[in-house]
Amino acid sequence: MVTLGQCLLSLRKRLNDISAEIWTDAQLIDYIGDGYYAITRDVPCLFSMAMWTNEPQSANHTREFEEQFMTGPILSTFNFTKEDDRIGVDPRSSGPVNNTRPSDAVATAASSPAPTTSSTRRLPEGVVEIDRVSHNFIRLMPQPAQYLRSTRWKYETMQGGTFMYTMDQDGFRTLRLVAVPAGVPATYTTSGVFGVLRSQDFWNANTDGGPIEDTTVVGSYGIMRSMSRHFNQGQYGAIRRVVPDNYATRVEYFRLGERMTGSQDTFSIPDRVVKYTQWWAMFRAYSHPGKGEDAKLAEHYKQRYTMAADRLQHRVNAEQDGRTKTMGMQRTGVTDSYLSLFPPDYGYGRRFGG
Amino acid sequence: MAVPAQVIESVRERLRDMESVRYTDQDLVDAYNDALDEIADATEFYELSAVVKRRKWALYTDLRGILPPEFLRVKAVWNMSTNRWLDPTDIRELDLRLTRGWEKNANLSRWWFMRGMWHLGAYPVPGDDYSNLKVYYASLVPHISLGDVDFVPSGTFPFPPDFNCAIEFYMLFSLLADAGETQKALGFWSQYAELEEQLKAMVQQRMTRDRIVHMGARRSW
Repeated sequence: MVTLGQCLLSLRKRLNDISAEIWTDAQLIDYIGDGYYAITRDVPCLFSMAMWTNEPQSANHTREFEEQFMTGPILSTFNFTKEDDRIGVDPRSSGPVNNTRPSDAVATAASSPAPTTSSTRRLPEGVVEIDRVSHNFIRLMPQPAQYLRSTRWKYETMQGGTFMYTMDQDGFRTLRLVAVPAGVPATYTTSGVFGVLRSQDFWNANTDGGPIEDTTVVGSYGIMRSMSRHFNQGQYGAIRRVVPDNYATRVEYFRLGERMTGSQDTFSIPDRVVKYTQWWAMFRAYSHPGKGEDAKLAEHYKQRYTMAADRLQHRVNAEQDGRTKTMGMQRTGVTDSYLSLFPPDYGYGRRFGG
Repeated sequence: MAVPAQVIESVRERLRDMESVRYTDQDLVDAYNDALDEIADATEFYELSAVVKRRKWALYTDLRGILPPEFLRVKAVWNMSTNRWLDPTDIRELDLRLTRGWEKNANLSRWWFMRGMWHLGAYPVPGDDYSNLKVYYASLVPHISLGDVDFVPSGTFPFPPDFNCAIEFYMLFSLLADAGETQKALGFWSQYAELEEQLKAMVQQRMTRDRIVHMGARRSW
């Protein structure tokens, strides 16, 4: 995989500015990052998943800016703890929330009008497009909030029977499940407090309804790098948290490329697509007023970026071109389908068997 | 039949006539590799295959680290357990045609689909750790290095020799654009683009001639 440092050096060569006389490193890194965002936004191609466990609404800070100083889990924000308090607070305040951990919410749920699980969740920052959402292995239908308001007038608090989701009333990146999930997934017990996952035995016990079989750990040393039913977000690292699908929400989405700052940071896209980000960067660089400005080359590289994005879009969907049959249908022979296009008396007359 | 060294030398000659800037050997090799990338990307003429191991119950296989970073796209998938080609499908069809929880169905895989660029899905999921797939994919052509330029024998380099001039035009475009000769560079670009289209057509029509059936009639040639 290409690193940011390699990409920068290659870009400098292409711009004929190895000694940074025209464009600074910061400028070019900014342009490359911009191109990386552009290609992964224009062509949704980086697939990822998030598993949500729908724990009850809990909050542990009062302002969003506090998040940068928090070291523990970042839950929601809250500004008041009881519905009665609303009268004395700003109308935009969030709440009421009267617990700071999901486990506490179970104890306080009886006295609270809020559902016992959370119906909304904020998507990760780099989400480009939702591809599929499922809850407890059921695919959820995306629906406009207006439709839901007119057909399910209590969906704000109604619990159970989660079949739909909506994304157009709770904030740009907030996804709401309809109806509110009835329960939270069974939690897996982790032995010990420190370290990383070394082995697992929870899927052997058929806890998620899958086949009962043994899953053996490959090797005797080291850490677990991957598990069959667990979707690894990235190429590197270890497993941090495993969530079963029972009562959990699985959000499958396309994301932007990660923000890169260090010269050893690698792109998540194939090497070839990194070139596309360079073309965008060259378009930006040649468009920048000053010594290196060249409107014609800027236009050229912009066109090449556009062509490359079209090409990549085609490539991402290319396997659809090879589809010859629909699942559950019988395959039609190529010869038969071809013959049916001709009238029965087509061609020269020929004696049968001759 | 021109080998990379001849193409590079030809470009060097042409640049000597029109340009005062002197290019290093490495510049020329870089431009050559750039041209190969560009043309392989546009035409997908270079095809390879690799065996992809899968884990039991794993619906998705991350192809990063299995296929080389020069990988462009998956073209076909062969199931080595069943000796059958897998049929392409997509996630919508799986949801539509199968019942809830299809992700857990373990059996011999018969369908494949892609999620994004890297994640190869196969349905049903394998019930064991040794149901390998053979993945056929389009790729970029391996780069040549400066030390290898003179040692690539004629006829062994995986590029149609009649399109070497496309590589030349791209190299000229690239090197002149770097040198700020925009007008000349863009001239070579349009010549390159024309040849790129021709190679693309050639790749797509490799067997069109043989596929034109004149049923019940004499061939017209």
